Amino acid sequence: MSVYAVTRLTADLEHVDGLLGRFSVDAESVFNNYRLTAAERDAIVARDARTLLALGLNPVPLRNLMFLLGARGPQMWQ
Amino acid sequence: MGAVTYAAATSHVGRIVRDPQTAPDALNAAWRALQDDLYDQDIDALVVVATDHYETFGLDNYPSFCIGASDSYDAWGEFGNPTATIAGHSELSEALIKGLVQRDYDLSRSFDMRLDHSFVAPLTKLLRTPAIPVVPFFVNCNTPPLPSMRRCFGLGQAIADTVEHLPDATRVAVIATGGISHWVGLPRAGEINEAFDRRFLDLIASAAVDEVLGWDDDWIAQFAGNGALEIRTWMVAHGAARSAPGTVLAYAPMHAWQTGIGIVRYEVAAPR
Repeated sequence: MSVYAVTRLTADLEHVDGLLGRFSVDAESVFNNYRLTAAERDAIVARDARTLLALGLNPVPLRNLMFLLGARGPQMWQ
Repeated sequence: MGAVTYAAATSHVGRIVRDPQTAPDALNAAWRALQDDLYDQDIDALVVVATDHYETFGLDNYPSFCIGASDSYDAWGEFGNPTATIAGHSELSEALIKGLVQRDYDLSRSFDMRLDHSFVAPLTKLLRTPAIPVVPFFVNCNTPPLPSMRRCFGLGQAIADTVEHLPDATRVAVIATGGISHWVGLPRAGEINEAFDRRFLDLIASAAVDEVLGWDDDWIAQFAGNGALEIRTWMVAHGAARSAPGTVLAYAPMHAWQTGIGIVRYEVAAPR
């Protein structure tokens, strides 16, 4: 788990102007700026919180990431 | 010489300000009591001991402890939480940095430490005009390995000692925020362990925190949630209060806020 890369992506999606919008249109182009594994990319695209947690992502940035991607509250675990 | 003349602790969930209408009167009355205390006591500065939820600090550089060293701090206003600019007290920050290092507490400092809801939500309840300047004090409560409960308690004692050796008669309040039981970013989010919360508050009230100081973080996380690990900030306040017993002003298992909300005032002895 490249934990650092996922947390950095999460922080950037939240705080870098326009990045979340670009991600929603072309996730791959955003991913290319972070050293993510294929499993991480797939899990992020799929909003797969369980896989990201199992891969070692801290629950706090996981919550932030899922919130940003529109999977909030109980939706995180569906 | 200075003194920690006041200490308290409160939960900090963002819904305190995003969803205030669901708060029972007892919680609002308790926060009002803390606010009245601070202004009645003519406090010169608040040392607010809180944490961060991967807003300010990331894995590029994650400290165990970090103190704000500026004269003002901007709030993130993350995810609908309140924005604000909080007045700081750089002189006290500098004195604390020096004093704590002299007392073998090595900590980071930041001149650009933005604050998340763990600082700002309680401050919306505690401050009025004119605002009391704040020294924000970050404690790692969510990225293992965490500073131990004992380390946090000792840090609080060192804060009190440092303040007591200030050259001026500075009146300092130490306010801890966080907890109590809640799960963040986990399938159990929404659960509250009221038994844990009430046991914790009973121990705080009787100043019998030796039990808390020995609690294992894995045990806390399993039974009260990863959010309950934030009670280590309460240990800082307890140490700063010189182990004074606490008065539980209010407790409510706030399911609408997914958190057990506790508010405590430590009965700090008057300075000699």
